[in-house]
Amino acid sequence: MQKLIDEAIKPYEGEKGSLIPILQSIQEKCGYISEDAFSVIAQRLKMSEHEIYGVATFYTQFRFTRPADHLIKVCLGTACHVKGNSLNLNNIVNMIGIKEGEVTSDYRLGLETVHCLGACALAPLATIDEEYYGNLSPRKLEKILSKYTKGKAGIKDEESKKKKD
Amino acid sequence: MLTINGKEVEFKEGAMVLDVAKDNGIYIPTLCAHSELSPFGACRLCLVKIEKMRGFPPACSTPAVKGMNIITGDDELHRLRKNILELILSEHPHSCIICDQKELCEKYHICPTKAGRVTGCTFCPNRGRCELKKVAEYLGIEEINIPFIYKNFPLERDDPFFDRDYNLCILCGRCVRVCQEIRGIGAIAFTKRGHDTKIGTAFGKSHLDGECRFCGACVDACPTGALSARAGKWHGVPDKEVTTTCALCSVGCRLKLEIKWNKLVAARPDEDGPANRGQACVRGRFCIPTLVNGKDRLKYPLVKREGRLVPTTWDEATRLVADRLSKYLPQEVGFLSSPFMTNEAAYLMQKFARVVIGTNNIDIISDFAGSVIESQVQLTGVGAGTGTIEDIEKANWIIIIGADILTSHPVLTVSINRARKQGALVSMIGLENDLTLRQVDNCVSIEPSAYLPLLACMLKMIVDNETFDIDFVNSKCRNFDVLKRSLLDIHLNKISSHCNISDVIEKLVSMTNTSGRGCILYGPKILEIEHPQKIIQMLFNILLLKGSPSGLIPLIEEGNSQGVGDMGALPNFLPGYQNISDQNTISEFENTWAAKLSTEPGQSYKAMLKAAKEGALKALYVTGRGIPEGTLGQLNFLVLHDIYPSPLFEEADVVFPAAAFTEEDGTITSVERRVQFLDAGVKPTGMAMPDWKIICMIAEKMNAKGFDFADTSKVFDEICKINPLVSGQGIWALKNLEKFILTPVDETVSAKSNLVYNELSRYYRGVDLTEKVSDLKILYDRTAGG
Ligand code: SF4
Ligand code: SF4
Ligand code: SF4
Ligand code: FES
Ligand code: FES
Repeated sequence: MQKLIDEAIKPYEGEKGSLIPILQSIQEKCGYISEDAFSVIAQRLKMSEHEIYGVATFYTQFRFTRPADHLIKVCLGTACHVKGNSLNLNNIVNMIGIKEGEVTSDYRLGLETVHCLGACALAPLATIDEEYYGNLSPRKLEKILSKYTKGKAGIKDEESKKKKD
Repeated sequence: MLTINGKEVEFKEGAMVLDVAKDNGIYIPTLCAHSELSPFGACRLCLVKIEKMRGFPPACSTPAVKGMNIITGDDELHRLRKNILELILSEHPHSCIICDQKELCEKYHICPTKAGRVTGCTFCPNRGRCELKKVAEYLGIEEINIPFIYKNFPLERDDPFFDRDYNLCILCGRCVRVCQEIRGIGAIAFTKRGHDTKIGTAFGKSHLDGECRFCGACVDACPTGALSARAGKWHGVPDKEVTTTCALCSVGCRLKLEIKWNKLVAARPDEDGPANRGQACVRGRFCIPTLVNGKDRLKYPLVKREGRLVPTTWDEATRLVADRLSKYLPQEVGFLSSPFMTNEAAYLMQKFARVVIGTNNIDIISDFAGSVIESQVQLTGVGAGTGTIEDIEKANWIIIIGADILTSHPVLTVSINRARKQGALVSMIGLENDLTLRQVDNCVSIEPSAYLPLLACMLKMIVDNETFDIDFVNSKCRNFDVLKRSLLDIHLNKISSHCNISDVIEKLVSMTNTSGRGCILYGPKILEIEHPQKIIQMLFNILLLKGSPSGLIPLIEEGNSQGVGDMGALPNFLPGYQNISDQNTISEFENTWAAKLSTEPGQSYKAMLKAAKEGALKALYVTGRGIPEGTLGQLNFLVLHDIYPSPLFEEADVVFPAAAFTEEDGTITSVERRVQFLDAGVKPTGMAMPDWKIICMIAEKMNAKGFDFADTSKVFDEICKINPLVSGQGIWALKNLEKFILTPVDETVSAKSNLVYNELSRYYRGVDLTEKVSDLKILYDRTAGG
């Protein structure tokens, strides 16, 4: 990580006006901008990390926490809502132990809600990464999630299977 | 020339429309504008009309231009401003602003607990000083017709010294700007955007974990009650305010003491203070009330009876001291002056020692001040630095050496920042951390033992490359040849490899090559080598070679060691650094004081402690602590002035309760030789008395003449008559700055002394501030650790 940050800053060393490109490049390389990254930038640019944080949080494009390896999006649009998707959401919360907007402590799963995924015919609906899972029922949900919660091996299997497909 | 409200007026180049209005006595309501800060244009209250300009430009950030025709107020503008303020108030709890009971409320708190927090009714800590309310009153806001939104931010009160309630914040950005622009810290920033905008730190860290130095500048800049000092928060409007000078360090900040029910409840920096201009530091801003209001302050004179100190009357205590002191031979008595005493007290103390006791055994309790005075007298004839705060601000290059200036003299960093903004280059020798790295251009992290070799190399390089001010050196400096010859033995390679500082020397030297004035600030870390005077001489050499004689500033820590030295509380100098061995001087003083004076130099602070241990000194009169424990072995009689019980009590025979600097009148002299007044905000605690009065009472008991003064101003009059330096308030001038002597370099590797100088910036009269103020301990522990 440290190396990636260094690499991102290097071309801009010492130039104050180059904050945004540095932030962008770090986000690109690391996926997010960590607390450590802020103190490194602060040191290099001779700015306060708070000032930098202020600038960074002004732009919605930046994220400051490590994203989950797999992101679950639960739809709460009208169709899905009517079909009881909030119950599914509750079930997910119970199963993986994090609330909406959070990431599990091992960074494996993240949970978000959205308004209409554009596939109302499949309602109630959730996606994990690019994968769509429609007509959700508690049982189905359990099966899908177990692939992700079983243990690292399970996920790797899943991933390698995807690749083969 | 431009027209404002139909009147033709002149204006200064670069002024904003708001400045022009102010200069002409026209009020425009503002909230985000601040005289010391760059224009921001956030609150939009200052909208005006300017002919030929579209819309309503904000006065605070619109530059005045020749020929402008400005209207600062009419019905339309008034309505507009009212709307804008209503919008602001719709997100700011405002019952305290529109409540019809508000006047009574402020006085009597009629419904304190009935009101909810969100109304802002009793929860704004700022009742006395709310700019929002002032503007609302000016605009005549009586009700707000927009639905109120409470932001519901949690109260932030986990940090030391001040609380933050961002529900009261109007996002004027003054705190952010003052922290960044004036203090150069940047501990806070605007975070997020839109409705989520909030002043905060990176990742919502606490201020303690961030870089905040708790200077309080943001608290003072805030126009609302969002930021508030925790102590004294609920005292409401103070009964009175007294402006005095802070004695906790040598910067000489002017402070406004807030007094309620005859008690000091808060201190704020004074905008008109010549040294601080509205700034202060954590000690001056937050620590003074706790420091002086401690429950265990000494209230009565104490005398030792059967091994215990017991309270007694002033009459008895002073009589006892008078009796005992008259029994010793003059050379058996010694006087140690606290570097926190007023000039008047120091003057009277040395007069007492010399006239009544007949000894020159008097010195300041301070290692650093002693070295500074000794070296400076050698260099310029008087025991003071040559520079002023103005010299710092006008400098083109600045070197700080051997000081943790961010902790010891935080307000001077404000001046250094100002210089930097004008393009000055700043180097720091000796200390390096993230924050200092940001505040200077170049950081040389070396041990004190490498200071001297480094400076010698710098001198050599300057001389060899002939990058010195030849005219100045030729016309004003003697002994250039001697210096040059002494540099022949300095070999850059040898030394730089020895201390591993080769590349930094070049950087430093090239910095001093920038044209214009130089300024060097040196701190007590130089005491960590055997001959600190040598460092001071080399620093002055550099300044002389660069033609900037008036740039040397000793970062003395204690509030008045400068003044105490000026007043002659020194073993070998009379007031004004007049030599004791000079016959003319002596006879002059003998005339004025109508007494016979001893011409035998007295013993220094260190020598007196040694003599006390060995028994040669029998009686010691000490007006402060800071004396290493267990050094007074054989002493027969010990008199103390103190404000709190101290470890010296074991050995003391008489203890006088002294007034703290907030409780006494007089003058003190700052690091830039500025003589400023102390004004008692409150009466001394208990039966305590100011030092000068105690000395006069004893003198009187000994039937001495010349100690009968009605108040400190009478003492000051006598000082001005007798001391060629001090003639009143303000900076006393250095005379004889016509010819200088360059000092040869005679040693290149300096031995370490066994002193380690770390934490002086936490004492007042020997009282450890961190012991009294727990929040300060938290802060200092943290900054020392990080
Ligand atoms: S107290 Fe001083 S350093 Fe801390 S945030 Fe306020 S202005 Fe900045
Ligand atoms: S905290 Fe005070 S100074 Fe800072 S932005 Fe808010 S209202 Fe302004
Ligand atoms: S900088 Fe010194 S004089 Fe100023 S407030 Fe702080 S301690 Fe007092
Ligand atoms: S409402 Fe869920 S996909 Fe449209
Ligand atoms: S004072 Fe001008 S916009 Fe705030």
